[in-house]
Amino acid sequence: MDPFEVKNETVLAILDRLSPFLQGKDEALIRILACAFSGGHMLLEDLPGLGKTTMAIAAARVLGLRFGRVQCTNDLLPTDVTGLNIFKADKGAFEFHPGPIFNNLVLVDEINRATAKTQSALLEAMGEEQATVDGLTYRLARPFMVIATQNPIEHSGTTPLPESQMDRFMMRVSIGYPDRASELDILRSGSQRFAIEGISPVLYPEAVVSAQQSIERDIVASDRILDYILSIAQVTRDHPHIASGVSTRGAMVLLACAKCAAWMQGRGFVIPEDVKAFATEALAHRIQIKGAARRGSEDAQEIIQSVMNEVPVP
Amino acid sequence: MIRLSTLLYANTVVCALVALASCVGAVAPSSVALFLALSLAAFAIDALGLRRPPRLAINAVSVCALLWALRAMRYNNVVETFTGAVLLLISVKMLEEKKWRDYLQILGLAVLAVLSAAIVSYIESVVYYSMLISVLSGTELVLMSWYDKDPGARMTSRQALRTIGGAALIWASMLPICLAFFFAAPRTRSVMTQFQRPGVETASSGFSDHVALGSVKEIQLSEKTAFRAEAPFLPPRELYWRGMTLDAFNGTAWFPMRRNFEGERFEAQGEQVVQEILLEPGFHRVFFALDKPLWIDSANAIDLGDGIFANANARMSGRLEYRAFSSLSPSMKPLDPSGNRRIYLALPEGFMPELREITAAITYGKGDREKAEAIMAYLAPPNFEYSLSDLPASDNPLGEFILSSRRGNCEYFATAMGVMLRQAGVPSRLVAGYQGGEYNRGSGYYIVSQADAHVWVEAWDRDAAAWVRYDPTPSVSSEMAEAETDRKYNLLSFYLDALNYRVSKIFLEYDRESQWEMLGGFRRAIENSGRLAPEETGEFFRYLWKLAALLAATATVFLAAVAARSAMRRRRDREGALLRDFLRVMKRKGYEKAPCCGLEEFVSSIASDIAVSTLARSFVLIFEEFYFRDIPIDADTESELRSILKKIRAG
Repeated sequence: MDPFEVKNETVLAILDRLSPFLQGKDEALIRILACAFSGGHMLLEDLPGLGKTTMAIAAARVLGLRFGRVQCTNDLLPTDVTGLNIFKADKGAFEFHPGPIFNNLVLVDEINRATAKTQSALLEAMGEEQATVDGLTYRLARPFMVIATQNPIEHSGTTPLPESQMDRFMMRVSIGYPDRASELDILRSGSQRFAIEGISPVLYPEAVVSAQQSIERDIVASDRILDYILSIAQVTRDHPHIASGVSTRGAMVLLACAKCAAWMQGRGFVIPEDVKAFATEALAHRIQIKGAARRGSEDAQEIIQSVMNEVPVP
Repeated sequence: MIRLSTLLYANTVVCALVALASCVGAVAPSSVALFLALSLAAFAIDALGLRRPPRLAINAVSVCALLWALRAMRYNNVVETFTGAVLLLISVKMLEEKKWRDYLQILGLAVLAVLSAAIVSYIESVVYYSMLISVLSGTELVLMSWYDKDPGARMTSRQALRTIGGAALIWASMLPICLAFFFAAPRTRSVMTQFQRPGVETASSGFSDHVALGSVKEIQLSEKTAFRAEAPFLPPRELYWRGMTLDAFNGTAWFPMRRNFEGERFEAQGEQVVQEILLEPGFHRVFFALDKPLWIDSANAIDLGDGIFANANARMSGRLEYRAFSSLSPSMKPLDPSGNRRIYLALPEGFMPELREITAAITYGKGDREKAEAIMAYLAPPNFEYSLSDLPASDNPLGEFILSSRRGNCEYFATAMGVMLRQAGVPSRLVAGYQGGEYNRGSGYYIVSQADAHVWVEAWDRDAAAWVRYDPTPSVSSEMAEAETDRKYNLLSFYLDALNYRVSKIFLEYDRESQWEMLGGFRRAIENSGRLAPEETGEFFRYLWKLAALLAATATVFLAAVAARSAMRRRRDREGALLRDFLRVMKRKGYEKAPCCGLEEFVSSIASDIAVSTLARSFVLIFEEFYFRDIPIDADTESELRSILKKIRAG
């Protein structure tokens, strides 16, 4: 496949700023940026200790976003995420203490450890961009982005995300082990948490919002491309190994990803390669594979790949 | 957006109107009026959304009306009455609430009406109506099946056009087969014309068996075409189309003497001309041909002598097509000049002594030719004037014409001259026929209309021993000069007439005999291939040529339609064509793009071939700017892209 060649100046600046810390994780970073600029949320599915948190913090820093973090456990309450009203005796009134969800970029670690109740409160917030506490509705910050992580191996004591909730994430991405050279580099330079704290931002929240809007509005997707996207969705629906195919929201998300890919590559219009760029990440978690063929997320990715190789481009 | 139901309704209305138009001449005016009234009522109900009369009432009334329409049915007007009834049924169906099956019934009835109209009329328009109704019914069926599936469907005008165009294309693709059937299908021995109601067409048949003073005027006032004749272009003075001679005069009318009278044979003099003549429908007693007809090529022609050919089949109405051979000469030299011509001197006892005196005064002591010329001079303007109005109509119209009014049309002039010649002792007779005609240069034929009906005089010249043609009617000479400019025929009507002429030649005249002749030609050609007599070969090749021309014409139409369609698609899809060409060129270079592979992906996959991939990349980058922005590629960009393609191909 054609290497993803970033040409957009903003994105280039971001990559440049983060280059000392990437260490082979540039693909994952590009996907995080794609989610950020198309207003989506991301599910990072990986083993612990591969730098997920570091990446999320780095992205928040460089985009100038306020960073919040939720470490999920099975006794985490919804109010731990959204915040709660505390009675202030001196004022004689309740005062709202916003939770970590009221940040721009929220890292939800090990989301599958949270109870279903907390998960749904979180996912509700992701979908509606608002949180309701004691009957009062609070708007979340803009931009708002969730990066949730999930350990794909460890299952005991977890509540896996229901398939329907998976649809709320724009992409599901795995970072994977770094290659040997990068890993050597990491070992040599040690932890860079503190260095990351010192990264100066390239953007600020309003700039991210306006970039989101301009991508949505100004990048042209011709009818040919829309037709192509619908063909892809249709093939997943008719696929013999897929129980339920890509939903309409999935097709919309694929379009948003494609627009963002076009924008990042400095093009004013979408080409089929843009659709392909994030297709696996955007679609693989949205399909349900039929029982017999089911082994893991790699299978879904393979099937999406085969679908992409099947649908003729316009 | 157009509602499907509206389109279907409109198409049905047009179908009904075509049905009406096709049989408007064949049915009683009352049927037409009833149809129009009911249809208008139906249209008003549909358009204004009025309450419909109950179905039961409609049906009761329509049964009554049907009985009323059919009550007039007789043995000889079966088809007309039937057609009237069909029209009535159509209008009743229009009145009812319409579901898809009602539309189907209306369509079926409309087709039936056109078919039955085709049985009773010979006009070329039947061919057009049939074509029209077949196109319309194709469209109707397409719309109807759609309507059945989704009665509330709407479409854009473009979709509507495409639907109608598609239906027309179905029709066009069927046309060659239909034509093949038309020419090859077996034909009945009996002719459909027997259905013909006697008298329905006599109005257009022109001359009857006698010419009374004032009767030709009625013919002349008709605007109908009398016949068409394929012939070379001739000077106007030669354009006398001979019908019959009128030998006896009873004081008010002229009669032929055919019952027990054998006409004279004559020599062929002067230039000989072949004409292909097509007489309009009617009861034809005689075959018309240019003066003097030598021979008529028709099984029904009886040579009566005097250049008159009677139609043995005169009781059968219909078109008549034949070839005629004429020698163009103003005089007719009998083979036996010594014959008895006393009958050409006969006049009623003591007829118009006043005229006898005038005749004696102007012809005294002159020879035959001088007498005739003197009478011509006497009848010339300003003494006498040509007129079609206020014609003398008393008991003695000739006396009124000569002595008081001095205005008349050809038969007054001809009668006057004929009578005066007889009074002067010169044998004379009148010839009825047509004079003049419009020449259609494009197709090489004359259109002779009823307005060209004419009567002229033949006088016996003893010195020359020949009948000499005299035309005393003054209008002929003066009108002749204006003929080229004065006629209302313009170019368009000439072309339309030529089209009509071809249609009737090809389709309406194609009967059992023509088919048999064609088959015979084929058979002879196969049986003794190469050993044909020259004229047979010519005949055969003429048929072959006609057939080939027909096939070529249909093929051309078909191919043109296909080409136009693909050209339209091509123009609409310039981008698609460019993309196809690009991929073809690349394939020839050895790089085939997988269908799922994007263009940029494809180009970077061949990066190792720097020359090709650079050019291909430049093509792709320009192309994508238009293709994926939904911007039509303009001509400049297209030529730029084409030049890149050329470079790739060359490099």
